[in-house]
Amino acid sequence: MSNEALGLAAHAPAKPWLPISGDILAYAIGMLGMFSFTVYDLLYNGDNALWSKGEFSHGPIMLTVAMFLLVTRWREYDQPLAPHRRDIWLSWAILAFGVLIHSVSRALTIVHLEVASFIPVIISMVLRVGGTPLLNKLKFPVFFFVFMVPLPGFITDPISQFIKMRVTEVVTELLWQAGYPITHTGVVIAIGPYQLLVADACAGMRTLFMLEAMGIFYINVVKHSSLLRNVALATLIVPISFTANVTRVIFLALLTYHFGDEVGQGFLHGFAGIVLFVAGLLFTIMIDALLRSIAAIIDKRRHAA
Amino acid sequence: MSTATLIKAPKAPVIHLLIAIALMWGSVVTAEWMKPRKYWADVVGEPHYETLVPTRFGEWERLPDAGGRVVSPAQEEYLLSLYSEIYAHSFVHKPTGRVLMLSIAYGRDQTNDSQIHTPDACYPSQGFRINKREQVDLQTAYGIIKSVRLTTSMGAQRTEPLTYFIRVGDEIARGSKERNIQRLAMALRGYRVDGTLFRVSEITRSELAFALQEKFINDLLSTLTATQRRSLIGDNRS
Repeated sequence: MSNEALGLAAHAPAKPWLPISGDILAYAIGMLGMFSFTVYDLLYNGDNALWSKGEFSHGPIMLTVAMFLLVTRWREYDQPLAPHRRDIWLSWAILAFGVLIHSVSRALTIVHLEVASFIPVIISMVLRVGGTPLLNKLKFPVFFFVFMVPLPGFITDPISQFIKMRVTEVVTELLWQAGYPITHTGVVIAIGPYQLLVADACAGMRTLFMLEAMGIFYINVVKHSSLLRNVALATLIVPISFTANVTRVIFLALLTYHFGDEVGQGFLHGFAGIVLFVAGLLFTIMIDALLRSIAAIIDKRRHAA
Repeated sequence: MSTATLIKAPKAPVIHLLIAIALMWGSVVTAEWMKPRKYWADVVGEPHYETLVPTRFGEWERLPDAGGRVVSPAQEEYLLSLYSEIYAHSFVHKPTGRVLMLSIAYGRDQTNDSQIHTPDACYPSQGFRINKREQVDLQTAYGIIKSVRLTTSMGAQRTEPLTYFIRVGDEIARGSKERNIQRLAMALRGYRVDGTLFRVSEITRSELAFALQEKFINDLLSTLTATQRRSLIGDNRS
C-alpha cells in the first residue's frame, strides 16, 4: 500500500519543495552570518535581550509567521524568474543600505534598527532572484517582518501608558459595579487585600501590536475582496485588543481575589495571556462575521434596486 | 530526490554572490570594530551619591530615614533592574522647617533600552496627575541646567511640585531625543554613557515651592567639589 503510494509519487512531476537556487543559498549564508549575532543578543544578552522580555517576546513568533508566509507565497509564484538589469542594480543599492544600517546600529547598540535592517536585505534578495514582479508577489510577507522589530520606547511608552490607564479604569469600574471591593491609583489596582500592577507586558502597546499583526494575518489569509471590509477590520482591531486586555486583567484580578496572590501570579498568569489571545481572535472573527453579513445585506439591497 | 534538483545553479555570477556575502558578514565585523568599549563612568569615576551628597550643607540637614517608608518589593526589584544606584532622602530647610525630598537614580550603562525613566511617566503610573509641565533653564553658578518642573497632585490633598534634570555622559539632556543624541555622540567618541536622574520635590501648596527647590540645587552644587559636581551635572559649560 505504502509502496504503491510512493511509486505514484515518484511518477508525478517532481516539483522541489522549494526551488532553492544558488542565489538564495548565498544570501542565506550571508544573512546567517549577519543576523545570528543579532538574534543571540535579542535572546540572551542581558539588557539588550528584548525578545526575552515580556514586552517584545512576540518577536520570534512574528519572524516565524513572516517566514512561513514568505515561503508559502514564494512557492505559489509560477512566473519565470528573470530579474531585469535595473532590478539587479536596485538589489545592490538596497543591500548596501541594509548593510550600512546594520553595521552602524549594531556598533551604537540601536537594536531596533539592527533588527529592522533585516527587511532591506530580504528585499534585496527577492529582487536579485526574481526582480520587481516577485517582490510584488511577496510584498505582504516582506511587510510582515516589520512586526518582529522591537519598537523603541519613545514611540511605544506614551501609547502604552495611555492604554494601561484606560484598561485599569475600565476594569475597576466594571468590577466595582459587580460589587467587588476594588480601587485603583494610577495603574495599581487594589482588590480586597491584594495589589496588582498593570505592567507594560500585561496591557500595553505590545498586545495591541501583536493582535494587530494577528488581525492583518487573518485578513490576508481569509482574503476578502472588499477593501472597505479589510480596512474596517484592521481599524477595529484596536478596540478589540483593548477589550481583550480588559478581559485579561479582569480574569487576573478575580483569580487573585478568590484564590490568592500565588495563583494570580503563578502559572495561571501565563494562562491569562492565552485567554487574551483567544479572546482577541474570537472577537476578530465575530466582528468579521458581522461585517460580512452587513456587506451581504448591502449587496442584496443593491441587487433588489 | 537528489540535491541536484533541490539546489539550482545560481543565476547571478558567483563573484557577485561572494561580494554580497562579504558585504553582509563585513557589516558585523565593522560593527564590532566600531563599537564603543570604554565606560564613561570609568573615565570620570563612578559616583556614589550616598557618600557624595553631604548630610548637612548650607541651611539644609538630612532627616533620619523614616522606618515606615512603604516600598513594594516588586517595585523595588524593578527599580534596581533599571538603575545601579538609587538615592532617596529627605532634607529639612532649617530656617523654615520645610522638607524637600531628594531622589537620585544612577544608571551606569545607558547604551541600551533600559534607559532612565523620567517622572513624566513614573508619576502618573503611581496615581499622580501632572497638572502642569514647564521646561526651565535653571541659572546656577556652574552654568545653565536644562530642567523640567512638574506640578503633580494625588487626590485633592496631596500636591507635589518637583524639579528634575537628567545627566547623560557629560551633558544635561532634556527629553528622550536629546538623551539619545547625547548617547550617540558619546558613542562616536568611543564611550558608553552613564546617566543620572536628579529629582527634588516637596509636598506643599506653596506658590514658592520651585524657588526653594532651585535654592536647594544651588546650595548643593556649591558645596560639592568640581569632580563631584561633574557626576551630577556633567562638565556643564553652556
